[in-house]
Amino acid sequence: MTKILNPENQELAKKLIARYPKSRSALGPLLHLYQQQEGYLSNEAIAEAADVVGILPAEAKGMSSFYEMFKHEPGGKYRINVCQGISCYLAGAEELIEHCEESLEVQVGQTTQDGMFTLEAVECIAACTEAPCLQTNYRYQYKQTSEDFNTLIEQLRADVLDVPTHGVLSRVYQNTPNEQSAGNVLPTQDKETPVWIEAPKLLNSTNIKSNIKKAAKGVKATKSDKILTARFGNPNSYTLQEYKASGGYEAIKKALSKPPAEIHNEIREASLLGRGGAGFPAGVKWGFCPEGVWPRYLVVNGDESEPGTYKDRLLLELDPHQLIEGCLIASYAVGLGQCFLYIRGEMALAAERVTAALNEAYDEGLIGKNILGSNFSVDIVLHPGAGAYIVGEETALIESLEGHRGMPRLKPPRFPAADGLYTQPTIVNNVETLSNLPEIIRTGAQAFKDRGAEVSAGTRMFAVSGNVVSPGVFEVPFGKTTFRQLIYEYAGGLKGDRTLKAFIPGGASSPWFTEEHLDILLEKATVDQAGSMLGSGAIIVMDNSTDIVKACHNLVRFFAHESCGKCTPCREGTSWLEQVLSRILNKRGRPTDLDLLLDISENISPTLSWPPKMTTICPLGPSAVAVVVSALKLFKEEFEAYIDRAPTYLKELEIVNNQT
Amino acid sequence: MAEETSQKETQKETSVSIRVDGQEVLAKPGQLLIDACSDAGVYIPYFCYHPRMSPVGMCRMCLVEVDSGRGPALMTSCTLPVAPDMEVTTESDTVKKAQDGVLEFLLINHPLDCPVCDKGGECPLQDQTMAFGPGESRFVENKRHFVKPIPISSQIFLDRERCILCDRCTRFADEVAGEALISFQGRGQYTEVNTFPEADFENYFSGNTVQICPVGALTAKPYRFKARPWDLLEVFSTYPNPMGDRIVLHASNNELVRILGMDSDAVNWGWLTDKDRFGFQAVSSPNRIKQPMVRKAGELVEVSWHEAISTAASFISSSWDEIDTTDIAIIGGADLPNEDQYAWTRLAKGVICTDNVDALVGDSFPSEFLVGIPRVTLNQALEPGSLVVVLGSDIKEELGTLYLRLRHALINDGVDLVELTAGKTSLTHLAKHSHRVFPGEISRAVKEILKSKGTDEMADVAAAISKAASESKLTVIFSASSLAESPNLVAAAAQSFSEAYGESVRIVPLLRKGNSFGAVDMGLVPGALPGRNVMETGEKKCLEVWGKLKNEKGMNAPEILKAISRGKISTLILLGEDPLGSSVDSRLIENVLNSSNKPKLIALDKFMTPTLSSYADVIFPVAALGEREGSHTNLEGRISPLNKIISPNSSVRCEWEIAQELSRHLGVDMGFENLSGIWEEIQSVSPLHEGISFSDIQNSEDGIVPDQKANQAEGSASFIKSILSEKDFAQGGIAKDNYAHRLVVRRPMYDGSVWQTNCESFEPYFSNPSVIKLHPEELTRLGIQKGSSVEVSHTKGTIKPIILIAEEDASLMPGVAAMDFSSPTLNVDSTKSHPPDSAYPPDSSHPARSAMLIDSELTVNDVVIKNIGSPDTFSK
Repeated sequence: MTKILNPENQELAKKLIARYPKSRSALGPLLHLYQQQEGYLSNEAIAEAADVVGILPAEAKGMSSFYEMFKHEPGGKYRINVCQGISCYLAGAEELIEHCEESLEVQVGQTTQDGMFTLEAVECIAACTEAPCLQTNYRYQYKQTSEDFNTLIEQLRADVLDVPTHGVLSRVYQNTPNEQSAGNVLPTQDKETPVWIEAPKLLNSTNIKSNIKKAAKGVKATKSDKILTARFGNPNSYTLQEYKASGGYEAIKKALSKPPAEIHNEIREASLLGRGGAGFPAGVKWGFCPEGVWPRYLVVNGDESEPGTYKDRLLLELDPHQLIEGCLIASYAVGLGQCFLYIRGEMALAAERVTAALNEAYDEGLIGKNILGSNFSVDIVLHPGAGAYIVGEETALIESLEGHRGMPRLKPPRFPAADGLYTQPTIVNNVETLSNLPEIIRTGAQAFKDRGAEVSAGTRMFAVSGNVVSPGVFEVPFGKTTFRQLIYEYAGGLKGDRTLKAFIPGGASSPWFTEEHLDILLEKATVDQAGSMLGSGAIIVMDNSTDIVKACHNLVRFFAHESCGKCTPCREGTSWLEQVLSRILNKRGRPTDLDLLLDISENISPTLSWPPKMTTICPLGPSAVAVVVSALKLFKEEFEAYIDRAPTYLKELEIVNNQT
Repeated sequence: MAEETSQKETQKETSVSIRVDGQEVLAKPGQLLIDACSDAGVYIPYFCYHPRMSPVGMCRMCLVEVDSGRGPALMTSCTLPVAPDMEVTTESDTVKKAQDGVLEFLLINHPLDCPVCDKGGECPLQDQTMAFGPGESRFVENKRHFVKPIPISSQIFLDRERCILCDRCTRFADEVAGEALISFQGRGQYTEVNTFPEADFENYFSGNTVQICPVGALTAKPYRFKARPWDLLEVFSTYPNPMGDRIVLHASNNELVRILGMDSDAVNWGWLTDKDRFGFQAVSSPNRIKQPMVRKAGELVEVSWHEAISTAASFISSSWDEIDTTDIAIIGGADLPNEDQYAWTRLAKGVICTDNVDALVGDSFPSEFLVGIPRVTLNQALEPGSLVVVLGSDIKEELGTLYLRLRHALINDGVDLVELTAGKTSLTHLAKHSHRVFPGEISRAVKEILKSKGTDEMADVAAAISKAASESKLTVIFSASSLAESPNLVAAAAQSFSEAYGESVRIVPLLRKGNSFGAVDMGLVPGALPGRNVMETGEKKCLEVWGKLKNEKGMNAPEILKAISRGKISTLILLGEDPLGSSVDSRLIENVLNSSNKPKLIALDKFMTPTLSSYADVIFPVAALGEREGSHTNLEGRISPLNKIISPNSSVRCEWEIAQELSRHLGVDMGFENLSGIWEEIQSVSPLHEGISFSDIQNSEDGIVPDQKANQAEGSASFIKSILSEKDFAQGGIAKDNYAHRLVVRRPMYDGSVWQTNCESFEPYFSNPSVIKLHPEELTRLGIQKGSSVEVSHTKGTIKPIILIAEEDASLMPGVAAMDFSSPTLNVDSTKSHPPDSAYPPDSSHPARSAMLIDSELTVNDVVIKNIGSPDTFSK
C-alpha cells in the first residue's frame, strides 16, 4: 500500500482507515503514524498519506500545517515543550524556560548540537494546577524547578526514563476484533420503541433569574459528594476490574432494559448542563437532532486546551470506563450510530489509558456489536487531535475529525445537531458531561439534581490554579459553593501576605473577577449575571505580585497564536492586539495605544459588552477582547505606567502625528 | 388590471418578504441576503463572496444588522438565506463601524505597492479603501512578509503579501475545478495560500483564479505588466469554441492583452479554460501571415490582393468543368465565423458547384446526422434531476467549460452520470455508473445495455436510463473518443438512444473545433445546406436565391484526403486547415504533395506553417479574434456576437471578403458587401434563422437561440433516426487479434493545434507525439520497460511501422494502446525524408505521428507492439 510505512504500520494504517465512515477522517491519525515512524513529516510522507486517503497532497499539507504537533522538519530525539500558559506563567514558566535555554545552550525552537533535545515554548497543555509544567515527547513533568529540569535532562541522556521517541503517542493500539465491530450502524425506527418522543423544551429563563444567589455561604463537599472523581484515589482506577468493582457498567445494563426514549427523558429530567463551557442542557441538545435522519453520530469533545482548564484529562487518564459507559448511554438514548472520542493530541497518557480501556471493553462485549447481548450496537473510535486550541469549538472539532483544517463552520446554517459530522446529525458533548451519565442512570434524575442547587444539578469539577497555596482540581456540589470557598478553603488561599488582585472565573476566555466577586456562587446563571462565565470551570488566581500587562499579554498571545485564521477580525485583530501589547511591554508604548487597544477590540467585539457581540465566526476573537477589556478596565494604571516608561521622543512623535 | 393584481399576488406567494433599511424587498425563497439586497439595489461590500461558489463568510466585509425577532445582530449577508419578516439594516453606525473595522484589518498587513500592482485600478480592495477606508494607518507594527511573487504554475504568480485569504482561488480549485492543488497552509496570521512542493497548480482552469482574486495576489504571466486597467479598451465577445464561452476582450495600444470570462448564466458562468483565456497570445504571434502570397518559380512571393485573387480564381476555373467539379475540394472552415462559413458554402455549392466541402476535420460524423439532431440548451441538458450519459471521451479534454458545468450539475443539482467510455475520465469518481467499453464496441455495447434486464449493474443502468427518458430527463453527450476509430460507431450508439426513446432524449454531440456547429448550421459540410438542412429540405430555397446548386452529396474530409492521395483532386482550398497536421493518412498525402500529382493549394490562414511554406500556391492572410466582427454558433445552436477591438497590423481580410472577390472573378458575383447583408441572405435561405438580423445578434445579451421547432424545414429532425444503418452497428465489436493492441488516439486539450503552438505560454503543455501508452500490466506482460523504444506496426501491414517510446497509463483498459493526438507543426521540417525501408525513428519531427498509424478506411485500427530496446537506443 505504501512505500514509507513499515509492514507493521501498514497494517495499523489499514485498521485506522477502516474505522471511519470516510477515509479522509483517518488523515490525522495516519499522519501521527508516519510521524511515529519517522519522527517528523517529510513531504513524501504527507503526499503518501494524502494518496492513501484519496486527496491531493496540497490538501494534506494544508491540514498538517494547521496543527502544532505535526513537525515538518526533523528535530531532536526529545522535544521538550515548556508550557507558557497563564497558570504556568504565574508559577514561573518564564524563568523556567530561560533556565532551559541556558542549560541546553539553545534558543527556543532550536535543537541541541548532539541532536538529543529540541526546546519549544508551547501554549497551555492542561496541567494548570501542576504549574509550571513541561512535556517530553508529550509525557508530562509537573511542578518543574530548575533542578528538576536538570535531573530530567540527565535522566533522558542516561536513557533511564520511560519516554518513547518523538511522534509516539499512545503505545497501545485500539483493537477492534472484526466480529466485534459494529461499524457505522443506525438504530431501527421501531415504532414500539421510538428513540424519542417529545419535542425539545428550553429551560424557562425567568426561572433561572429568580434563583440568583449573591454572597451566599456555600457548603463544603464531602467524600460522598463526589461522583466523577470518586475512584481517583484508587491506584488502578482506570482498569475495567476496578470500574466494575464499584458498580461500573451497571448503568448501561439498566438503561438497556428500558426504551431509549425513557433514558433520554431521564437525562433531560436531570437538567445536566454541558460542562464544556457553554453550559447548555445536554438532554435538550440531544433533542435537536431532526427526526428520521440517520445515521447520527456522537463526538466526544476531549480537546481540553483552554488555559487554566484541567479536568477532562484527569477523567480520561483516571476513569476512562466511566466516560465509555457515558458514551454508551448517550448512544443508546439518542440512537447514535458511531461514537468518536476526540482526545487532545498532546495527552499521550490519556490516549494510552483510553485505548486500553476500549480494548478491555470490546473484549468484554461492552462495546461493538450487540452490547451485553442486547440489540444495541455501537462502535467507539479514539481519535487523537494534533494540537490546535480552536478544535475545542464544536464545529471546528467536526472539521478536524473529517480530516480538515480545524476551522469553525458557520452557525447558522451548520448546527451540528442537524448538519454535523459528514453532514449528518451529530451530538458533541464534553468528556465531563458524558462522565456524569452513569451516575444519573444509576441513581435517577432526582438524586442527581439533589446533589446540586436547583438549576445546577449534580457536581462539577473546578481547577484552581495560579497564585494559590494548593492548586488542584476539586469536585464540588454544583451551585452550592462560592469562589471564596474554592480559592481559600479548597485551594488553601494565597501565599503568605499576598492579596488577591484578580481571578479568572471560567477559563482564559472569561472576563476577570476581583475581590468583590468572591462570594458569588459557582453557578452558571449567577456568574453570567455578574458579567463573566463559568465556562470550563477553570479558576486562575492572580495575586498582587502579578504584572497585569504581562498577564494580559500572555493571554492575548495565546489567542493570537490559536486563531485559526479563517475570518479577518480574529486573524488580524488578535495578532494586532498582541503586537501592541508586546510593544508596550518593550517600553515602546504610546499614550494613544490604550484607546487603540480598545478600538481594535471593539472591531472584533462590538460595544465590548458581555456576553460578547461578534464580527467574527466564533468566540475566539472576542475571548482575546475579554482579556484586554478586563485588564484595561481594572488595571489601566499599570498600562500607563509601562507607557510612561517609554522614551519621551515616542510620545512627542505621537503629539506631532496628532497635530497633522 | 385584475390579471396584473393576481400576478403580483403570485409573486408575493412565491417570494419572501423582508425589510431592508425600512423598505420592503421581495426575495426569492432560499436566496442569500446579499443577493436579495443587490437585486433591490442595496449595495453591500464584500470580498470573499462569489455568486458561483459556496459562501464561506470569511472576510466579514458584508456584515449587516439582521433582526429575526430577537433583536438586531451582526450577520454576514453572504451566508444568510432570507427568512420571512427579516429586518435588515445595512447603514447603521454599528454596521459601518464593523465594516470599517474589517477593512482596516484587511489593510494592516497589505503592502502599499498599488502603484506597481497589476490589479491597481480594478482592485476591489483598493476601491473599497478609496470609498470607505481610513485616511491613514494606525498600524505602526511591522507588516507580515513573504517572498514576493512566487510562480505557482507556468501561467500564474502568487504574491502572498497581497493575499487577503478570501478563499476564492482555493475554493475554485477544489469546488469548481475539482483539483485542490492550492490550499491554505499554516494557521492564524501565518496562513498562506500555497501549492504542495513540486506539485504546481497545473490545472486547465487555473486562470480563473486570477480573474476572481479580489486583490493583486494572483497574476497571470501573459498579462503581467502589459497594461493598466484605465488604459484598456474592452468589448464583449464570444470565444470561438463549441461552448461559445462569453468573454470580454481587453486591448491596449492596438494589441489584444487579456481575455476575461463573462458571467453568462446560459453558458460559461464566467469561467474559461486557460487554453482560451490565454489564447489571445496567438493573435500577435510573429508567425502571422501579413501579405497575400503566390508561389512563383517554387518560391512564395508577397503579392497584391488582386494578384492573389486572380491567381486563385484561375486555379479554380482551370479545374472547373461545368459538368464535373469533383476535383475541387475545400477542407477546413470550422474556425470561421457564421457569415464567412455561409459565404464559403455558397461559393462552393452555389458558384463553384462542388459539395466536396468539409469543415469538420477530425469530427467526421455523418453530416445528415449532425444536421438532424435537435439542439438543446445547456440549461435543458443539465436540468436538475437529469441523467447524463456520456459516450466516448473525457469531456474535460474536449470542452473545458462544459466539464465545469456538468461537474457542478453532478455535485449540486442532483444530476446523475452514466459513463460508457474506454478509459477512466475526470468525472469517473462522480459517476453513478462508470462502465468500460472496449474501443470499437461502443455501438454494440449500448444496444445491449439498453436491452438488458435483470439484476446486474447493466440492468440498473438500463432502468435508470429508461426512467430518466420517461420523465424527459435523459441527456446523451457523445464525442469521437478516438481518432483511430470510425466516428460512426459512437454516432450509432447515440442514435440507439433516440431510436429507443424518441424525441424526449436530449442528444448533445461534442465537436471539437471553434465554430463547428456554425459550419453545420451554415452548410459547410458535405450534403448539407444552410439552416440545418440536407439537400432535399434546403434545395428549393437555396436555388431561388443562388440560381444554381450542386445537389449531389460530395466527399467528407477523410474521403477528400484519400482522393488527394490518389491524385484525384486538382485544386484544394484550405480554410485554416493543415492536411498534414490533420488526423488521417497524412503520410500518403505528403507523398502526393511531393509528387507531380500535387493539387493546386489555395490557403486562407492566419499563420505560416511548414505545410504552407512548402506546398501552398496561393496564401490569403485572414483576420483573427478581436480583429473582426461576426457571429458564432455554439453546441446549443446559440448565436452570439464576435466583436472587434483591434485593427489588424497588416493586410488581412475576412474569409467572406475573399469568397466574395473570388466569386466576382469567377463571374458569379454573390453581391456581399457587409455582414448584415450576408445575414439578410441567410434569413432568406434558412427558415431556421428567419427573423434574426445581424444587429439582433450584436445587441443580444446571451446570444440568440433560434427556435428550431418553429422554423426548421419539415422533416429535418427525423434524420437522426435513419442515417445510421444496421451496417454501422454491425461494424462494432470487431475482434482484436490477441497479439495486437487496439489503437486509441486521444485528443488532449492541448493538442498542438496551429493556434496553440502560436501561444508562447502553452509550450510546456504539449505532449510528446512519440509516446505510446499501455496499461502497466501490459508493459510487464510484453517485457517492455517504461521509457524504452518499441516498434509499432499496423496489423494491416501496408502501413510502415514507426518507432515510439512506451509509457504506462493505469487508466487504460488492457489490450489498448493509446497515443495523444498532438501535432506541433511549427519548427518542424516535414519535408525531411526518411530512409525508404526503415521504420520512422522516434525523434522524427513528423507533425502528426499518431495519424501515421491510422487507416481511415478501417472502422478500428489495431497495432502490434514490439520491444526493440533500451530507453537509450535513439537518444543522441
